Amino acid sequence: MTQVTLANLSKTYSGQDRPALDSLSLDIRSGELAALLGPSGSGKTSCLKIIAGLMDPSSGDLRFDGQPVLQLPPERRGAVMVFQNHLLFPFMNVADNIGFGLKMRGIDKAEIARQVAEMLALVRLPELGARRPAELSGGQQQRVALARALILRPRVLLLDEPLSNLDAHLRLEMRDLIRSLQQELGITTLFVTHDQEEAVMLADRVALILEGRLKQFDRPEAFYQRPADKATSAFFGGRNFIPGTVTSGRFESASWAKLDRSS
Amino acid sequence: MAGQQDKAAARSGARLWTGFRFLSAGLLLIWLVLPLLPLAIWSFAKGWFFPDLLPRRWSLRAWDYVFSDTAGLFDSLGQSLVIALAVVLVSALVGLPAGRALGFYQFRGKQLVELIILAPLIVPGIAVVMGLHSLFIGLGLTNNLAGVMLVHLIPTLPYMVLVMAGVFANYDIAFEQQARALGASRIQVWLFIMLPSILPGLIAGSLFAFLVSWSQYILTLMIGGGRVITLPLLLFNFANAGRHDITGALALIYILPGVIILLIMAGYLSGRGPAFGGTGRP
Amino acid sequence: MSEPVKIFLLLAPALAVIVLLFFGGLLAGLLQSLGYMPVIGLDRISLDAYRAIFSSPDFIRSFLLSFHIAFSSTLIAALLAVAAGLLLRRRFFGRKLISFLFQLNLTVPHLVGAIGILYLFSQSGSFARLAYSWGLIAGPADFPALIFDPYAIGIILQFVWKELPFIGVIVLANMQVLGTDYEAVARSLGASRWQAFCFVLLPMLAPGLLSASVIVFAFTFGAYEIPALLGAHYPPALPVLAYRHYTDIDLAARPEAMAMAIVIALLSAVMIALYLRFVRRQLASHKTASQIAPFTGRPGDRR
Repeated sequence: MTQVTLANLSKTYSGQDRPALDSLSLDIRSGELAALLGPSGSGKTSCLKIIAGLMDPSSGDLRFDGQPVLQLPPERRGAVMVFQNHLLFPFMNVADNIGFGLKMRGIDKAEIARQVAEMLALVRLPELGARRPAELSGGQQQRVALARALILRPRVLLLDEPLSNLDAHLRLEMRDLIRSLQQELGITTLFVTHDQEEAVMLADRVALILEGRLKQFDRPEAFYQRPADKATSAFFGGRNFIPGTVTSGRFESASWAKLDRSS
Repeated sequence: MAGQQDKAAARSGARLWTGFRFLSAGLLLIWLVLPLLPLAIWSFAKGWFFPDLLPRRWSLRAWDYVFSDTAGLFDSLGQSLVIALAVVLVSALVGLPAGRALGFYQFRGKQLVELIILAPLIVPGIAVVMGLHSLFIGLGLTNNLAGVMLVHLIPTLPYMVLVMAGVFANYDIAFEQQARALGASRIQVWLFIMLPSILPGLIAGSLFAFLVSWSQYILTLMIGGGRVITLPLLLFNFANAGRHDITGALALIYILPGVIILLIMAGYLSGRGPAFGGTGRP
Repeated sequence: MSEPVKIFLLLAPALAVIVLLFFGGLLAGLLQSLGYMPVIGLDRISLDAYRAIFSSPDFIRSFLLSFHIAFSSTLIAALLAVAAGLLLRRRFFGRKLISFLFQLNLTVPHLVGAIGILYLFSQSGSFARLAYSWGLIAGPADFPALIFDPYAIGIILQFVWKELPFIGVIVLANMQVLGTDYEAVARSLGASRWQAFCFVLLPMLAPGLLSASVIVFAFTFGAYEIPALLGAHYPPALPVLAYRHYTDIDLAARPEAMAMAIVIALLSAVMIALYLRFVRRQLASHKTASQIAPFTGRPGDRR
């Protein structure tokens, strides 16, 4: 139940003249499922890593529930990131993977076992605790990665392209799972994607990021009904752009007049 | 507030850490080069005694002696070179097909074969060479170059096989099949398709095998019986006898091929060579 | 030509050479250790030589000394190699130079390094002279004996000097392949830097590290020329003792020399067994690591 505020977050990599993130400001509500949408290279994953504490911004501020967190190292921030390749530890079995965060907190073994079993049931993988990650399918690995993060009841959950590696039919299943878990546990969640259908179907609100800048942060419908600008509209599939003006509730366009004259 | 203090503390902590890393890097650098320094200094010294940190008098006397024939340098150098080159040639000829078999094919008993090939790399030479010496006496292979060349094969051949196995594991047989389909005979395929492709790996393996033979001591000592004095044996004798200036000069000459090979490899590895594998030997 | 025949023909020359030379030498050594030396008329098998060496305090001392040398050298070299790997894995000022020096070190023969160590650490060596110029000692005899000493410090120093880069190159290569992503995941899950290293990076480095260490252990246990040059006359390292027995004028000492050789070979056989075990495990975890392909892997990368 954490509210996340990004204030003018910027990131420029050394050797690059264009910033990867340009003064990004976002206000994510507590318990919200928000999407960071944009084409590859638009800075979305950098943003996620900054929130997680795995990367430092060049400038800007980041607050959880109004408290500044940039000075906190990743292990003390409470923002858990699930990578696109989920990176399950190959030398541990599924149960140990899921219980890893709890082990780092020093929780005793019995309690860890109990919570791990609970989590496995929650992500619908009840019997797989003793298996190694290599023995699981892609979808199962994804769910274990999710469980590994959720078991910690993080303040913020950060998902990097959670559905990109999955086949089409698994994607729907996973989408439902993420949605239902997020609602059930009420964890503020931010996920990154380049697929606008995914963003629109899953998120409460979508933040469109083009070339490192925030274009629009709104409910999904708004992108179709009231896109911020031409680039935004084009990203969502807009194809026909008719220039014109609105005067006293009426839309007038010179091109219609042209059409009219030639016919 | 607390945020600012935390941030400042983190920054000075990071600076301390960077300083520590620089220091360790510097120490590591010095440590890696250090043992070679007194050797170099000794070779140019005219007597260097306690407690002088640097020689009081410098001279090229050691180098004169070394390059005159009395030291036996040219004989030893020649023998080391001849042995190493012969060993590399045989290892390559014998090791290439074996490496191809291991890199390309899966077969029953492959693990056993790999074990047989690996064993000489782990079992120390002293355990084998004494028994081998007794055998070689009966075969007339002691106290001569031929015997020493044979015994050097023990550490070099397995190494060459492993390197070539790695090369062939990365090698795509489709090229050969394409060539056959275009009408090339088996020999033409070997000469014009296989050899050029594996050449970088083969050369790399050969250079390393050369160094392995170059640095052999106990094998040469036992089988050579004191008649075959390769460069390391000569070096050991002078070091033991306390002739430090000559030892220094000989040592610098001795490490020269290694440095040259390293520079060749550095040039070779940047860019060329699609199929190369293998690590160094202790 | 059928495939099995082809494979056999490809392997035959190499296997013949190795079997004849290596296993032939071992077998000859084994037979002689069992007292079978028809050349001088001994043609009965007996365990006398083994009984003799195992009840000999000289042998026990040499064996323990060699074990101590191998264990200490391997442990120190491995620890320092991991530390060096951590130091060198990130982009940083002297990295290329140190990498080059690592590789240079690999080409320098052990003997040269040993002589260098001799000149540095002997009681009249460079460090002793440095101590004298700083007023720490009054003469060569005051400098601690690091060469020709009972603890084989000089020998261990030399082995560490040479094996640190050997293990280091392997560890560094592994670290580059693994990248820093796994540790990033661990830290995101609440692990401190140290915990991420201990519980995530180290287990993933373990197979390669242990394989390399096993090779180093076997090598440092059975090496001859370094203890011959830098070691005390008594007790000598085991390979030196074996050589002395073999070159003894009394031919009856030969079976004992061979017995020692077989003991050395057996120890390495144990090492091979350990090596195989770790290589197999390494292959298994490689399979998993390649399925979960980590992407680029340095925190500064753009995405």
